Amino acid sequence: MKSIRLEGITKYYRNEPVLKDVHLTIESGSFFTLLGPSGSGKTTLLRLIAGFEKVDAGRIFLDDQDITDLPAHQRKINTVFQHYALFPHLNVFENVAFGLRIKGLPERIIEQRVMRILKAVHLENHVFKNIAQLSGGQQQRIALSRAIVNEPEVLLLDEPLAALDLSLRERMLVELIELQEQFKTTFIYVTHDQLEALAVSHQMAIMNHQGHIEQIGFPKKIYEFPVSTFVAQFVGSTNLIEGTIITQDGNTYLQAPHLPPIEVTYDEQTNGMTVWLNLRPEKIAISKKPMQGFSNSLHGTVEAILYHGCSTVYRIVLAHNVRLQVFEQNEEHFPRETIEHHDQVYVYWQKENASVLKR
Amino acid sequence: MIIVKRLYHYLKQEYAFALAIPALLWQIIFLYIPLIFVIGKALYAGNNAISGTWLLCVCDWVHARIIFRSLVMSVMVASVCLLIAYPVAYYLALRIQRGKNIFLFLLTLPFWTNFLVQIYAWVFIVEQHGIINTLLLHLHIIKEPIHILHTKFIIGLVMVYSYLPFMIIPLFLVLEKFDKRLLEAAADLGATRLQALFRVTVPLTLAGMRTGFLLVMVPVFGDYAICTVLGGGKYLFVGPLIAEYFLVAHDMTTGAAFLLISLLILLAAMGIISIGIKALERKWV
Amino acid sequence: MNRTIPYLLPLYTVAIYLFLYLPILVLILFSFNASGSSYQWNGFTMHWYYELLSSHELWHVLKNTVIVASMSAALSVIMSILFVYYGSMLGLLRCMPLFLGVVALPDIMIAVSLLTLFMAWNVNLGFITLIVGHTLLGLGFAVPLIATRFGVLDRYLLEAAMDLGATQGQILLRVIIPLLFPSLITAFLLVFMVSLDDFLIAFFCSSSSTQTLSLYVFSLIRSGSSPLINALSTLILAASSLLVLIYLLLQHKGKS
Repeated sequence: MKSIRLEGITKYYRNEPVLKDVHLTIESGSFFTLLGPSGSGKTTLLRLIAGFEKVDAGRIFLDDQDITDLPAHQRKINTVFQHYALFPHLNVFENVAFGLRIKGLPERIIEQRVMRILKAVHLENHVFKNIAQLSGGQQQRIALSRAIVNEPEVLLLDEPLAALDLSLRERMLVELIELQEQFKTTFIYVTHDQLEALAVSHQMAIMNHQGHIEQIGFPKKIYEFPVSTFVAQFVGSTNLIEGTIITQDGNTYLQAPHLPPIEVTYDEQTNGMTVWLNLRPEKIAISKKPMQGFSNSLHGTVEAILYHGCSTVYRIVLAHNVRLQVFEQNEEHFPRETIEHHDQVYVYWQKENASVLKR
Repeated sequence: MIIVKRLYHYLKQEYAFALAIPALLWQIIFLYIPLIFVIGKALYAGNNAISGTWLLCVCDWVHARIIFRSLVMSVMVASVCLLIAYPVAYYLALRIQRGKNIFLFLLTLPFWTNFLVQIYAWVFIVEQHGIINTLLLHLHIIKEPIHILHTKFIIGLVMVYSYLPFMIIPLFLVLEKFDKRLLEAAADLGATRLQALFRVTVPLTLAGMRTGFLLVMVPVFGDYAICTVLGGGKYLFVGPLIAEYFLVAHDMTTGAAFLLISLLILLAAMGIISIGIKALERKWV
Repeated sequence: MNRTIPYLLPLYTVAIYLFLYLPILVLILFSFNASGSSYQWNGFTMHWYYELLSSHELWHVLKNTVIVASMSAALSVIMSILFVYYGSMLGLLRCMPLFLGVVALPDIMIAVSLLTLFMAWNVNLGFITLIVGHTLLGLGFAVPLIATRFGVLDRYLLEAAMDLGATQGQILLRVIIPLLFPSLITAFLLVFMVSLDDFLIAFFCSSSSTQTLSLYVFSLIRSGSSPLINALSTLILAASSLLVLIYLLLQHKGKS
């Protein structure tokens, strides 16, 4: 397994830059996810690494080898396509064996490796079936097998679970993680589903609409400490409150219009520039009675309640048009307190559980 | 030698190009270059002068009459084909629910037999001792065998017979794609079936009509076999005359000149008809 | 509209079908006529068929025709798939309209131009010239057909093959040709039939030793009709129908 290093990758599509000066290092053996909205260039980046498109500027390195000018069929990189791209004229075995046959490996070895991977994905009984007879989940696993059986240095996955239903998706996610741990191949995974990304990745890169990488890091770091409002909003849901930083009595506060000062932990200089408070809904407590011991407490009215069974999301109106989403787990059969529409409530959080974002 | 070596290396590198190009080269070498060659022969008379033959050819009344005859025949045959084919294509495309393609296949099956066989079938029927005459004589409708063979009528009829599929298929394809809901809309707005036909269906299928018309015109104009076999040499059309010049008289120059003029007139006629139909389309659609 | 109108269209259609089939049916019927002249029915016989099938000349002509048709079809299909595949990568497909020339020009002008070319190059008319001409026609049919079927191929399949290490040539042999196989056979049959049906190119560009079926029938007609020609026509009809049936079945399979 090898690492991938991208330096200064730029790609234009009809004179519009899809990717501009992208720098990225993906460690060998890691499960790396490119996360972003549609049109963020994440699939383009993947295709550049695979070799289906040529970069307009920049270099791509596989460990120390510069593969930028290497054609796709010569790169030791394999792809799992979004719609599988299985060969309709070949059965399961031949589909998986395709890359091995191209290499010209002896028949015995081909059979060995193909059967081994098919056993790993639990499809060894479907060996001679035509791919049209397989379900979506099965086809997905064949596409995966076809790529992995070649023991590539890097495996690229382009939204492989997008076409599956929810329950299947979750099962496949677990299988993907297991496969990656088993083969220790470097996985580069592209998706727009942030929950998926958070679940599988060792590391993630968040891409925005302009084709830039906003943040790279561990899922937990990205979720808890996003570097921008874009990342905060794209990964999970959050509350953003706009304001300016003021210091008073040695404490730092966010002053937002129509709201009392909100205490924050933040020690950078802002010089009165606009910043945002990033406060995740699950970090907020809600109650009809005032509570002690929290750094921040605000008062508001319940505007909407969304009941999700295991949790409830409340939308609270604080002052003119400032709304907060609050996420509460329904921990008890008989909750001590029932909150209803139009109730007057208090929302609380500790200052350490929120962050301040400059952009 | 160096050139050959260089060419070899170039071809090895650009093998994709080398593999792709034969099909194109074939068309160019065996169709377009000879065509230009023939045109050149018609115009060029040596010593960089425009061939006098060509001018003579243009002004020759006999040639003009033959070209005119072929042109009229092709336009008439195409028109008859259009009139005959349209209702059939309409019925198959819009009225039949299942098995459209089978019926279409059956309709064009006679066409797939050898061209000469089709011609012979008609010879067999209309000749002096053929079926029609035999039947009519037998029933005492006529006293003597009638001459159907060697008339312009039979030539036209067999042309219609042979080239009808060229008109039916484009019409069928266009009518198949036709949105039947438009007819429902027309009915809703008070149009009778006939009015809907002429105000909605026909204008929207003009493209198919144009394709079919041109597809029939071209082979009819240059036809040789039908004219010769069924015309018996009584009438001269463009096809037989060209054959005469090239194969019998071995007069390449005049032959080439005649071919050039015929081609130009055919293209002009096709152009006019095409533009005419397109103008109609623009007016009606 | 009165009540007869609904029946007008179907009746008319049936009439057209009759118009198209009657001459042929009559032809077939009278091929079994025992009488030598066409207007008297003298009883059923297979005599003419026996006479045909024992004619050396006919078998020679048949051999020529099949050779020319197969070679032209093979050449057309091979050159077409190479043109479509490699051409799509090189942007050569823009030149597709060039292949429509054979349909847009009257056969006789194509034949005459070919003849002029061969004479200018001092080429002997024969098998080669005939195959050249029929391949020319064939390309005009095969290229658009194969290009269309190639166009609807899933592009991702080609990328997947590339991803798995296949070179261009390997992709062509292992993915494209297997997937397009029905269309390739269809194209082969189509060109085969075009070659079988051709009269003018053969008339101008072949020699007396390379007579094709069309020319043979033509010469027979010239010497006066007889049930022999009827019998021959029937046989040709049967063979053509079979070919067309195979063609259509394959076309259906290729589409699904």
